[in-house]
Amino acid sequence: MQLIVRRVKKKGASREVAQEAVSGDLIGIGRGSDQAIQIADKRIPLSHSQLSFRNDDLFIQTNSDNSVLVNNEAVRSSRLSVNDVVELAGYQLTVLAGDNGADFVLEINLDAQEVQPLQDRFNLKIGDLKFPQRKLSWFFFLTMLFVGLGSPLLGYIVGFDTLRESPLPDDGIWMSGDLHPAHAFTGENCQYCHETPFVSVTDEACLSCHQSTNHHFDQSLVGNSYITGSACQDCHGGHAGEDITREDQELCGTCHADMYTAGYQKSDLGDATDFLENHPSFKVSVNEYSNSDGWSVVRWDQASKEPAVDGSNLIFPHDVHVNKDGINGPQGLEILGCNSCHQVEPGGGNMLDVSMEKHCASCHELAFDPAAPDRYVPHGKPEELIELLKGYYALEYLQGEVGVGSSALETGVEPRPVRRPGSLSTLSPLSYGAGSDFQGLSQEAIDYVGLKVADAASNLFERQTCAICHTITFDPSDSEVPWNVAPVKLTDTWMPKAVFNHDSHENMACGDCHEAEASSVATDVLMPEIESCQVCHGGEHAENLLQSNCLACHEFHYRDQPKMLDSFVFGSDTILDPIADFIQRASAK
Amino acid sequence: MIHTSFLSHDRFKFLWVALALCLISALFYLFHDPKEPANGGTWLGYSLGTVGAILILWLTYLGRRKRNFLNGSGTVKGWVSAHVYLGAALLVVGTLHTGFQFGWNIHTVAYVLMCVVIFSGFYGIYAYTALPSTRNNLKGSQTLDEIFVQVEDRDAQILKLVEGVNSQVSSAITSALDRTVIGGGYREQLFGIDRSLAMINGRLVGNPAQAAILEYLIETLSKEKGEARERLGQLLNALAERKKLLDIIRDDIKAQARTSAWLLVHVPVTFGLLASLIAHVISVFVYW
Repeated sequence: MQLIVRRVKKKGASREVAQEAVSGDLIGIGRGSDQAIQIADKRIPLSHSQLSFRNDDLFIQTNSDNSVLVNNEAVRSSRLSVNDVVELAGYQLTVLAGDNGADFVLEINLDAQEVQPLQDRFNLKIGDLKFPQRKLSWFFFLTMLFVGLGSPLLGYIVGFDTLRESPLPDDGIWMSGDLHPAHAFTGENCQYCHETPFVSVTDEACLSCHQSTNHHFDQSLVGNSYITGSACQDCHGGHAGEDITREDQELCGTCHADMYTAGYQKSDLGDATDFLENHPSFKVSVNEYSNSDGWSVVRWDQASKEPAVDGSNLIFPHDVHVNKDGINGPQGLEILGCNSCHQVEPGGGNMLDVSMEKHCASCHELAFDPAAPDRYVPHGKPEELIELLKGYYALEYLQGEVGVGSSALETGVEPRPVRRPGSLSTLSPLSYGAGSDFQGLSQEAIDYVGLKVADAASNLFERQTCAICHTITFDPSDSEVPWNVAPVKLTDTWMPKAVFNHDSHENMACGDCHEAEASSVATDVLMPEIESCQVCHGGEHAENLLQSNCLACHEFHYRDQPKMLDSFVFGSDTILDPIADFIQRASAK
Repeated sequence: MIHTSFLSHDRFKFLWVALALCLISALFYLFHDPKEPANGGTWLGYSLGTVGAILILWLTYLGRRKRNFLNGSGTVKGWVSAHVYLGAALLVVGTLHTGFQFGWNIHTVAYVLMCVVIFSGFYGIYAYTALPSTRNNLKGSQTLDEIFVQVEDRDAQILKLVEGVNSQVSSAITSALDRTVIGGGYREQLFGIDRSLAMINGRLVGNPAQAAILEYLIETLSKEKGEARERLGQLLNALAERKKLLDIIRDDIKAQARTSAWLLVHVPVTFGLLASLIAHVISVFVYW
């Protein structure tokens, strides 16, 4: 479409005419400088309407809210014919027949309005743009208040689960830091721990899961409460990832610096604030045995002047066994190390038990008859040994009489004739009482077995085998089993109040801490003294040493103390059970 | 120096106050040995948080208070000085309060909004100190109104000169005058974007910095001779002068827009900050 735009303005008696050619399919009319037909008057919208050309006709179409007078009728759109007059904001646009190749001429009468001063036609300041600062401030304020506070608080009205399922912001937005990995299962349910608004997390909430948590000390010492650490939160935080336990020695020191003043008058613990600077000497638990009372545990202070006596009732010289030159064994000279008998249990904490069968028997064979050095009795009670010997010698007697067959005790052993029976004559035979298994045997057989058993047993219990390690007592009034072996008990945990890990110390030699090479009796206590540990370990703030806080060796929740839950007085019975809840949720998936 | 700015007010009194506050906070933070990861919940965390929250409320009040020119104690310059320096110190106090723990939560939102407010304020300091002299250098001793009058003078001159030239050239030049755009919306003002147009040879073309019309005129001029060439030369001169004036106006509008636009961020975000601060403080105690 070709259009000639002719702008006409009265100038005195004459008319001033400016003319320009405009072409295009759509021709915009408006105040904006991007309009093909621009009328610079602020009453006219930036983009007012469009002219278009279809089938040799001219059309006008206004933009959304605008209307226009075409021949004095207000319209939104209209076909324009020659001599039609369009009026907008007082300007008259007359449609004329085209000339010079143009389809139409549009004559605009500019008399209606003086063109505004340049300065007034534009927004020259930010202030001119009418920025809705007050509205925006209110919007930000209310939005943040709703998102950060109002909406999450709705959970107390509609229920937090309902809120979390809705698209509205929930209390997840309040989460200040990562949960401990072990707490991650609680998911988004803050109420497991934060039960009551504005009330700090309670011990009840913690114990609802941590039901097996042990007390730190015997509650009878100060009634039922802690002085420091009266709440779980005193030592445990919640939103610091894995780092939610206070481990500083100062915290322990609030009581242990001065137990008496702290209120624990009944405690026999020494004061401690720092492993290197202020820590009592170690106490070792040793066994004590008396015939009347049996076993008891005695705490021996390494700083005391009395020597330590560990009453295991065993006879065992460490020095002989770990002699660097070796020790005579059945296969010749053997060089034993500590780990020949002492092995670390899986996990590296304590040592596995030492047992006769596993660690001693390969050297200490329980042979009972010099004439049959490859025959052993089992490691057991004296009564069982006597029974076994009786059977063995009875069979031997029988085999001696018939002189045929193989041993009934062990196959593959050659039958042996009875030898030197006369040498037993100095021994009195053991009597087995009436009605025993020997009923029906000849007196000669009974005498034979009695003498042989007495010979072998006295050899075992008194001279060679058992007596090497065991304390044996003889009771002549017992005609059947006159020998008694004192009961044996090895100390399981020497320092039960501390936790020690052998694996962490595997780069050290055993002898660095345990003076086995210098110990000749089993009653010696070979546990290291505190000075031995202090060679490497200092307190939490030590310099040039391993920094070790109290928890490096001590537990707060002692395993030998009763469970906290047992003595806890619950204030409410509405406590949530997160574990049951979790299992329900997990199985629902 | 007769004039002292709000920065050097009262021999930098508030700078020293702010530095002291930062130093004390930093020293406490360095020597504080919390037995848990540093966070807003230690005793120092609560202390810094309290100081920070009081600062935010007070600075917001100061932001309003400093506009009361005739009321109460102190001078406007003093209030601005305190607002600026203590606002900067808030960045240190607030950051130390976080213990450098950040996450997708309302607490970090409050911190981020605080940073937006403070850094927009830093831009404001730059705008208030650097831009006025930029504007003065631009305009010499003239005001913006005077420059506009000069532009209008050139317009009148050009409209007279244009009467003698052929209609195609004259309509191009008048279109360039009519379609000169100054200022405009936020982007146009802040970045000096020129949306001027001109109708050259029946086509609307972009005419930023009047480049298109000047180029057209130079091209036309080179083809003309004699009197017409001389007339076009005069027009070209007038248009070039007009362009220079428009450039000054545009740069001045840009500088002025930048002097005031940062407040459009600073103030509304402050209110977002206040709300998130309320939510932060209350939520911490709801889930204590």
